[in-house]
Amino acid sequence: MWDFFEPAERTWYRWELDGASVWLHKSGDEWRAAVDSIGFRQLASAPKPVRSGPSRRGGPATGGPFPTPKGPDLPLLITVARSRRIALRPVMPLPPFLIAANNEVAVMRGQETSFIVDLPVFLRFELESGEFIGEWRPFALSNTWFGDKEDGLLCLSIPTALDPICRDEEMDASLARPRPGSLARCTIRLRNDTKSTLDLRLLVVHAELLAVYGGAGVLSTDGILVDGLPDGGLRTSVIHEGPPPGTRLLSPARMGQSEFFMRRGANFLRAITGL
Amino acid sequence: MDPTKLLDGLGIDLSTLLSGKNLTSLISTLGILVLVLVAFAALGFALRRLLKARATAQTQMLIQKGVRYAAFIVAGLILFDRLGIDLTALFGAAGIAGIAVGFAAQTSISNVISGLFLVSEKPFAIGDVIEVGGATGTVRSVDLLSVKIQTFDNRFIRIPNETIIKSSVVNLTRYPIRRMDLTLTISWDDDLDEAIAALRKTARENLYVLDNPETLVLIDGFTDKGVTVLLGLWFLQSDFLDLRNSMMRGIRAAFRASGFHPPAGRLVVESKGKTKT
Repeated sequence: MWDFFEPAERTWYRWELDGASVWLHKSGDEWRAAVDSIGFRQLASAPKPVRSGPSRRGGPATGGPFPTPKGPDLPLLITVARSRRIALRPVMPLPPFLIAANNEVAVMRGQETSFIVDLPVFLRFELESGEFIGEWRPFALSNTWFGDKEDGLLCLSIPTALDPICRDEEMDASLARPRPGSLARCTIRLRNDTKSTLDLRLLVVHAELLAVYGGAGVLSTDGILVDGLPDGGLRTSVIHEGPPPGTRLLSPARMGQSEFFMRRGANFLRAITGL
Repeated sequence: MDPTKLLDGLGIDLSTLLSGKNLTSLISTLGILVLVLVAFAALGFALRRLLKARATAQTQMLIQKGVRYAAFIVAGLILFDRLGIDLTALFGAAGIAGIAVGFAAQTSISNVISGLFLVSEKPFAIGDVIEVGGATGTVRSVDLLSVKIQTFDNRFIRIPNETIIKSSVVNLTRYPIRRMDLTLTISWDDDLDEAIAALRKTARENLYVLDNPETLVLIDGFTDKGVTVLLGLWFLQSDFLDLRNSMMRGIRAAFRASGFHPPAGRLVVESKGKTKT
């Protein structure tokens, strides 16, 4: 799905991403592309009904590229570029994600837990030369604000439920749900070394700092480690645990010390009392 | 008119004026003036580069204007000096004239002083949208005498600084996010809770409404038409028009889909006594 392929001349191709569709057409050096988006909430609550197409005849729910006889009735991006092969690639957005927990999670002092969140990726096409065509949001995300009303950070909203995974715990069946090919799975580890309980409400994820990997048709990102420090502060860093879960499809925007990127990014813990 | 006759009339002998000594003096004066103006232009350029990332547009504009006026003053003083005009007498006369002009130009001076207060207080900057005395528009310049704004229907309004100091100024773009308050009336015939749920759902599904801070829903009061509900929607300043239009459409569609009635006034008429036919 994310690999390079050589499209036939004057043929439309389609990728299916859990409701959103991506279209591509090549004619000589001219490339035409379009994306049919859906709302993220719509995806999260009730996936769009499956469309008819090659991928639906006993194949996986998502995938591509599938040759299709007709192009979309959508606004097209037309690019002139010389390349024989092309690949659909995920890209992480520049604005951070603000994960708003629908449920309340409290982590007692001294405890450690993990969460798995699925981050919606943006999409673009990569040519053999390494250049990119377009950038689309396959899932319409509403904006949200993090910070006070005078100064803050504009984020993309991800309202979701957070299921904590405790140490040495087997993954719950609900977490083993089929992974949508269009969402990148990210593991967030939280260590509470503060002197009080941490109540998880909001969590900012600067996804541009995460590498994205593709393997077996699904996407994963680097992990995030959030340390609640004894002085009441929070320290967040990108972690790489174990072998990469597939081919690296996207390198992070920045590396090194700047990965400690969420120092102020988490108001998630309003009830740090006694500090 | 013949220039030679004009110079003769003024008692200036052209041949004397263009004699070697005078010509050298004239050329050197012009050279000095050009040097002064070039030096100030270079200073202005350097300051512009220096302040580009460090100062607001308003401060940059004021400094640029200050440099330009200083260049003219210095050039004028040099010119007077080279022409042999005694500036001491001029300054003395200027002092007396200043008092007279001061009385005559009280309003202008008041505006200038108000302008200085505006610059120091910074209630708004160039590019902000402000509302002053019924006029709303984008600030285009903050000068010593007045503030110029451009309204949304593309009118130019000059507001004296003194007026701004005396008036309440609403800066609509001071903060990055704002709340839009929509007051809606829910008919007495409709279920209030269902209507509020429909409003919340419409707000939640609108991409321009920020999820955080949360949408405010307030039961505001009662009227003859129904219950008034205030819907407070947080949004980015730049999304004002998109939000307003999309929310209005969304609310109408949601109310129509739920079968809510348009609020209508009620008038109860009681008949007392017997009627005669």
